[in-house]
Amino acid sequence: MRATTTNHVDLLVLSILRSGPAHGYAIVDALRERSEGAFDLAEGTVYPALYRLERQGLVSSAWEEVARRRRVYRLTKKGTTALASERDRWQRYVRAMQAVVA
Amino acid sequence: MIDPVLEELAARLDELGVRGKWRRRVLAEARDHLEELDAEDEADAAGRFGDVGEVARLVAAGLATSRTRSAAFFVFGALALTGLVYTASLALVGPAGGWTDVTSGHAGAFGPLLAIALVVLPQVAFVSGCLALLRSVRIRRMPVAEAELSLVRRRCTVALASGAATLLALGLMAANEAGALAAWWVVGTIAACVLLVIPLAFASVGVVRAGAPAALPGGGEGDVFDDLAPVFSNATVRRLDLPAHPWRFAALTAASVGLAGCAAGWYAEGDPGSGLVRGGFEAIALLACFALFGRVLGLRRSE
Repeated sequence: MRATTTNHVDLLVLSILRSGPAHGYAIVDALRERSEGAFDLAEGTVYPALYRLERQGLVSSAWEEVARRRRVYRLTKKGTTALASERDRWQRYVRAMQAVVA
Repeated sequence: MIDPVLEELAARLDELGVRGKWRRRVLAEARDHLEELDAEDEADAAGRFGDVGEVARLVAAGLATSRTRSAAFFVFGALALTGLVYTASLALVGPAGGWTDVTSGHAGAFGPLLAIALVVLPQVAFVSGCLALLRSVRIRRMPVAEAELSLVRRRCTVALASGAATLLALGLMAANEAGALAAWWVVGTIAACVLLVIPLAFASVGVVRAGAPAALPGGGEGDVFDDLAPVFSNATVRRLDLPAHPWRFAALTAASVGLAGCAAGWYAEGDPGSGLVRGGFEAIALLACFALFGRVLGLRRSE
């Protein structure tokens, strides 16, 4: 169960970063906005997910000074590839579920 | 509002062994996040940020996994260097003057012990290092539970200890052969042994650091049958039911290694008797190591 949840958070975070670089707060904000409030996660937990993705080389990060000093995350080339493959897998899963449930 | 949350987060990170640059980074990003919430007049900023204990636990678990994995790679690299020097040293004994009797020099009665150490220890280091690497490759994606990480660190520790003991044995052998073998071999071997202590020491520090952050509690450590699942899932091998009978696995491996040692000894010495002695020794050494390190290295389950 933990593995599934972790994978979902990773996929969501990578999907948000596809739109462009963002810092932790902006990622959580975008997640809540795009899901129309459905994904209202404990905001601090986005950071362990970002660190995990960074260690896997799927995102990179650096401190940037725009109005204030923030750690900004961006998708790497490896992250873009991983996102595409995860998204395909997710869409296949959703189609299969719909075929059975609907 | 912000400071008490950050103080609690800092305390939790300390408790869970997250220190140095990761501690600073987590706290800086948490401060930034809480200030954003504060700027938006969010009344329950602390609540929105979530349980700081959970955040600290996830950070520590991720760090424990990645450090353990890196440590295993580093240990394997350091051991590969050791193996290279060991092989080169032994290969150059011939040009340096040739093998002498194991009881010659100052070693006396310790000579045979030194010879046994030089045969057995590198093999223990090699097997432990490979097992640590194998498991660390398997666990590359997720934060992993403590039991499994602890197994990788134990494998690393045995590999490093055996590697260091190999260097010591090789250095002692070189010192013992001073006068009997060429000076360039003796000096070169001792110098290489001393230099190789550096990567082994760095690798040891990596293993110790990997154990500092708290991993996710619980979990099962698994064993070599999980590591080599593709091999053991083969229909013929599965019929032997080796995971349930690890000593059967040890006996089969010892028989294979013994036969290989026998063939190698026969080929090298041109005498089947020498081959039999070498093969028998290898098989007995393997069984002894299985008994000694079986549980530590996860060759058989402890439960």
